[in-house]
Amino acid sequence: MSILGEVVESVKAIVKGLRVTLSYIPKEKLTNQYPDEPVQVFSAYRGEHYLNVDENGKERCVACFLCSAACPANAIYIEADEDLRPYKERFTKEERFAKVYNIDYGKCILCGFCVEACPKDAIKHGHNFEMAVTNFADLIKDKTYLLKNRERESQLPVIIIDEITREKYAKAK
Amino acid sequence: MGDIVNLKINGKDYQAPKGKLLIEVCLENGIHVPNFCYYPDLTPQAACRMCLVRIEKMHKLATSCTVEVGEGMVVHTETEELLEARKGMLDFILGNHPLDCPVCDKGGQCELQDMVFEHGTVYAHYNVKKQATPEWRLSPFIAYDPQRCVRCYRCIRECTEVMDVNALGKIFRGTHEVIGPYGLGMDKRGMDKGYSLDCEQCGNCVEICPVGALLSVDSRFRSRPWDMKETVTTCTHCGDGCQINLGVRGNDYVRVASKDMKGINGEFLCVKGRYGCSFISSQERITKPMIRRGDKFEEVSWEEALRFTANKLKEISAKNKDSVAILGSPRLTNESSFTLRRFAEKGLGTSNFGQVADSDWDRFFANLTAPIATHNQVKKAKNILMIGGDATENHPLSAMVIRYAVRKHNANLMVVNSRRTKIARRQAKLFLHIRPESEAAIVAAIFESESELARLADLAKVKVEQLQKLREKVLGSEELTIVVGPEVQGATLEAVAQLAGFLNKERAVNYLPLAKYNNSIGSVDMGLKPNGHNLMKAFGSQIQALYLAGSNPVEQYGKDWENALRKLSFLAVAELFMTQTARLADVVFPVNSFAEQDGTFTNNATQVQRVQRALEGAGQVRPDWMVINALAREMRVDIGAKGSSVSIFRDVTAELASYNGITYERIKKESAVQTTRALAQTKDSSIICKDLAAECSKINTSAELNKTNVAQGEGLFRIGTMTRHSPVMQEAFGESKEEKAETVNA
Ligand code: SF4
Ligand code: SF4
Ligand code: SF4
Ligand code: SF4
Ligand code: SF4
Ligand code: FES
Repeated sequence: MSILGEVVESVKAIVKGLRVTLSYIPKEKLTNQYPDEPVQVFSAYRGEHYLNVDENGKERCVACFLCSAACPANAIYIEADEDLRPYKERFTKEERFAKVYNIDYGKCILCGFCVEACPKDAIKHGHNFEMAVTNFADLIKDKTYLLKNRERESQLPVIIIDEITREKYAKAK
Repeated sequence: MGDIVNLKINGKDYQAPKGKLLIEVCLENGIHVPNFCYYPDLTPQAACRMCLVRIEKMHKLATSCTVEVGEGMVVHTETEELLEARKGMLDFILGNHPLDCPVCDKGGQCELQDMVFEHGTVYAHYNVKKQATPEWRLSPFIAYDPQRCVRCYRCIRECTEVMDVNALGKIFRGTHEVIGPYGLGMDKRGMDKGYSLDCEQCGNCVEICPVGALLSVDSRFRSRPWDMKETVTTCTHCGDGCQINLGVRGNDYVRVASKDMKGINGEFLCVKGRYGCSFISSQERITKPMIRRGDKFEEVSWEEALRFTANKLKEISAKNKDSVAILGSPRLTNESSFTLRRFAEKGLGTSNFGQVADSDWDRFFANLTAPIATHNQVKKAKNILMIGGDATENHPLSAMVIRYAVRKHNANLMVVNSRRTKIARRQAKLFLHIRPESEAAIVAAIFESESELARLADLAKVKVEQLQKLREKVLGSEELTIVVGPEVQGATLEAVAQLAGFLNKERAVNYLPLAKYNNSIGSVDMGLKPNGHNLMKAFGSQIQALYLAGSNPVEQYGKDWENALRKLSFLAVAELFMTQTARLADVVFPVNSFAEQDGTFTNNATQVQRVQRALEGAGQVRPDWMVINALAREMRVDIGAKGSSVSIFRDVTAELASYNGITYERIKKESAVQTTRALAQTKDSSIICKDLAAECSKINTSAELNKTNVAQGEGLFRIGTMTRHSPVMQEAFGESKEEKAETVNA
């Protein structure tokens, strides 16, 4: 084959190889410039958990141990206690509550079984994915942290994509 | 009875004894029939109607828990129609059920949960507003949530029939019906204020409640059935040796339960067994060896404590071997008691060893002329002679089996006691209320000729006719179970042990000794004679050093012991807690509780049962036998020490004929293995009569009858070395309350 022929063949091969790449150049950009820009995540994204409260701000968890039973990674540790004060005075929705509620993110695989199991809507997946720490012990998050996580939701560097945007996104694709 | 009938269940042929309940036949043959109110051994109630079955030729569905099987019965237990009917019944039950499984302690082992799960979607025809009712604390131990109650009345029947306490009853009517303490009347306010359940607090009603209506306060919210490790072990609080399920989460005590246990006690436990075991996780446990420096104790390493003790013991025994004494306790495991004796004999060569206890069981077994009855055999007993002992208060399981014999087949119970015990007041067919410490006279009346009766009756301060009747019954009965209490001692006890031989070999006679502590009998078998009180007299003179394991004689026996112990030049104590006795010691060794070690106990029916490790001991605690082994090593003496409880037990079985052939595997399979005792020669009755006459002459004839009834809880609620550290026991019967209760010899 002549030199020219080889050059033509190579250019063809390169164009063929870059076809997909090149076809995307004129299209809308999906890449996020994280951490300079916020990341987009779906509303059903399974990020770090938060512990939910009821309409009066009382903790919903009754320490039933069901989430820890459902957890395939054995990541949840709970100790239950009782608070016999009237609803108004106590911090919890029901008399039974979790005195200790720890999730070990060194074990958790963010599978969502705990959320599924909870009969009280007390544990939810948040959208935080920035969970790296520099110390193993810090992977264990306690109840105070998980309760705060609910408030942190609104300050997360993420854009939560709801169902409608999601459909649009699917169509655009 | 006795006849066998043929019946067909779900198309298969079965045979069953006539008169047996249909539900029992089904369950025994592995045919599942759902039920709430049926419970083995309780009278049928037919309240829940979950056990409905179709019996051909009967025009309605029948409750299988009340129908007795008959010849040619054709039964169906699994048809569409039955499923519908049962679903309908569940609908009734769920009509007012709160569905608060997440907060209910029974969640995970609830029969209602299982039932709903089994029946799939249950209708919900009743969408009326549920009656929310607050939970009631019935006692420091027991709470009741009326809304969860399915009105199966198991609790009422358990309390009335099995416990004979009659504390629970139905209150109010119709949809307002609740279970509550009797004597509460109609004062609804009384229920949520203060404690109102005046009973033995055994918690058996909690155990058999199918749902979470009756609850134990002490294990409230502590764990879930799937979340704790349950270990089957033997109770440490009395000689009956109930099998308990010790639930542990992480390394913390959670609860004691007994349900579905194949042990000697079935689901039965008493207040101490069920609620008195939390001492194992007490913060006050000693966890490090300590040496006295002046007035204070200093925590030291094991090496230092052992070296110090070894040196002291060597130094003192160098002059005279017998100046060192070893005292065990009826609470230690067989393995530890055995090692203690070996250490005394082989290691120290002292003849002063034994245990601190006030009983003469060694003399009893040396004279035994008939086998020992197991608790199950007592259940079937026809005639029971009970000499001394307050089973209700101190041997709750024995009391239960005696009550069972009386309740189920009207056993002829004869009681001889100096106190008006509950069993004497309520179950006995014949009660001889004797003068304090005059049991010898009654026993003599059986051995002596009839002409002596009047004199002996006078000695014991009973009516001659009564004594005559007892004598006739005992001499005339074909089968007899003799229950003998711990206050019967010395020659009287020997005579009781000889009674079976005297009565003639042909008859089926057996014994149940009411030994006080969990291993009273085992420790005697291991060679620790109950001679502590005798040795105590030599403290400071012939005996200079003492190694005391697991006993708290200062609290139990008072000032005499304290003074004696102070006279010693060296005292080492192995204990769980810093007891009054331990405070006098020069060295204190922290040891494992029963829940933290492996081993065996021998109960009062001479059955060997396993003690299993349920949790790790805190700090540096070690089992008693391990401490002794280490001490022997430190002293450079060879006691043939073995490094595990299994191998020590192997030595025990090799050395003691009555333990021959018992292995841990066998105990695991059979749960309790009875030891076989060699029976003693029957002595000539004239010798026995002479011994008894000597005992009779000691009776204080000016002593009056003790006419007061034994109060409920006199023994059950007594706070001791261990129960003191169980928070819920302490709250209920703690020190301040204890002063009120008249203290009987501990
Ligand atoms: S997300 Fe999954 S792994 Fe993580 S805690 Fe929940 S159940 Fe466990
Ligand atoms: S988070 Fe939910 S499932 Fe877990 S213990 Fe609390 S109430 Fe139960
Ligand atoms: S705790 Fe025992 S004695 Fe008390 S009510 Fe229950 S069954 Fe009866
Ligand atoms: S309290 Fe429990 S055992 Fe008693 S009637 Fe109610 S459900 Fe049955
Ligand atoms: S009867 Fe005795 S062995 Fe049984 S639970 Fe009570 S104290 Fe323990
Ligand atoms: S078990 Fe037969 S009616 Fe309840």
